[in-house]
Amino acid sequence: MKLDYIKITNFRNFSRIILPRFSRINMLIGENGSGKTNFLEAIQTLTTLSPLRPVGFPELIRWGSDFFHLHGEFDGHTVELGFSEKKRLLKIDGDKSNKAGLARIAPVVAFMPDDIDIIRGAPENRRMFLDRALSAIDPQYETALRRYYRTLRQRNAQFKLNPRDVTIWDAELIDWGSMIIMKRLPYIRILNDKIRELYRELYGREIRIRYMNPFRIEGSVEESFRNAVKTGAREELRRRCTLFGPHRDNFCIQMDDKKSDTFVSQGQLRSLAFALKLGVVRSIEDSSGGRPILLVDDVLLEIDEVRREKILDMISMDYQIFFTMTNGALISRVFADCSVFQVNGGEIALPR
Amino acid sequence: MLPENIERFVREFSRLPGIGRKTSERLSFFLLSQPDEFAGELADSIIRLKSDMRLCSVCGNITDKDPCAICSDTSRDETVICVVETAIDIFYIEETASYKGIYHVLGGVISPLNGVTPDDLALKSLLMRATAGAALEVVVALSSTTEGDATALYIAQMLQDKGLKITLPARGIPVGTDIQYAGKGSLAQAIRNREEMK
Repeated sequence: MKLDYIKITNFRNFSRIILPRFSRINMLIGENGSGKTNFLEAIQTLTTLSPLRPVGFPELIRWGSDFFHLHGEFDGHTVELGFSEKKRLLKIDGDKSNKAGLARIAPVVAFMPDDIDIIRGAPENRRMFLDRALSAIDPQYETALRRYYRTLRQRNAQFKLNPRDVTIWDAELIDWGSMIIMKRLPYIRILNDKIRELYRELYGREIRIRYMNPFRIEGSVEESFRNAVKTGAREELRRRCTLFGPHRDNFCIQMDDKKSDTFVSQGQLRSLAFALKLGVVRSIEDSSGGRPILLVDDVLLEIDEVRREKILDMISMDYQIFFTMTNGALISRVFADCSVFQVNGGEIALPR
Repeated sequence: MLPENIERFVREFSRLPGIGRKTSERLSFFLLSQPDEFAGELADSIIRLKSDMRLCSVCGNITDKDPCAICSDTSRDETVICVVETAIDIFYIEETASYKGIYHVLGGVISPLNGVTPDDLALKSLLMRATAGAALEVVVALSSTTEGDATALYIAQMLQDKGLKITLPARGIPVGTDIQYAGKGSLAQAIRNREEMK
């Protein structure tokens, strides 16, 4: 997939930007606060309907205006997104459309500075990462997740109201929960492949992702889940909450039998987070056949130059990429098909 | 400030679902512009709606005579009981004219988040009707939600080993829908629950 043209109106700090041409490699260079990330956010919002940062649509409107409008051309398809007075309108090739339509035309993966929290942060961060990534490629996963969490809330409320009846919720819990686990496991394998490949290439060391759940899986997931709920019933009654299921699953990255958060450097953390996101890219390619556009927001900075060049080698041939950086000198090499845009105070200068 | 009578009307009417203050203000001025009989008939219909209606002592349907028209209709098939969440579901199923059995209104679904336990639902009376009478089949026609499905399972367990057939309405592709628009979840269920052509 390739973005060929974009028109941005009243979005964040841009009043009107028209960029009629992009290369495969696009670098946006400017000071902090100039609008580099806002430009990536415009692409992300147009293609996924969710901004890069956790804000509502009204906050994306430029100060003093009452609407925003985004218009992009992707491989001959026109995508338009308008928002005003609490209403949003998405059109693909002139027809009203939705998220599913977007995923087919213009898949996008954003690499953000806070990706590092997936590895370094609490288990919730890792679950949220898995849930978002899987929901984007599998609507059944999204359904299972919604039903599972609804059941979980009912079951935990049941413990408080009348623990005797808690088994009413077991079947739903086990059905949807097993479906989630069974979809997470192959996904972890995709991530594992990517992260091993990249780590071996960059650091010459072996590494792997280990999926951890609060019960042993022997035989079928469903059977193991059911047994865990049965044998743990007493403990659950004592603690009055649901102790088993995907809401307590986690994964960790192991290297030489040590956990990642205890010793790796900032650069290594950055590389690992990058590798996880490359796994997301791979999974989108596997499920849709299309190559996503990559948005890379300042995340290569902390990786040393030699390894940064290696990472660029791995991605620059296959994808259209938008990089942001404060200093163009950070990437010294010359790419065959590359444009440099200067971003300054909400204006973007066309490449010379 | 509106005159006291209009203010009272507006206050009462805006308690109805979907009607806000602005709408009830408009309604009040509309009623004032109409002939006197109209307001009288409207008021009467509202009073009768409540005073003459009660719950059927057999199935829990809303009715003007007890037992309700369906329970006292001898041509209905008493071997099949359809369990529904609320009385309005009976109305919808009756409109399809494709069910000839009798009904049982549960009065909700199990939902501890809303404080609803099995004891709050008409489950004991269902057990009695299903086992004491002529029933051979119980159709559990609840919403396909987390709470509806859990309640359906609870009913199935309550009635198991009683010699009854427990069924669910079929789930899958809505009638008149193209396969490509059916949605993955519905399509998956439809394929799993496929039936032989007759």
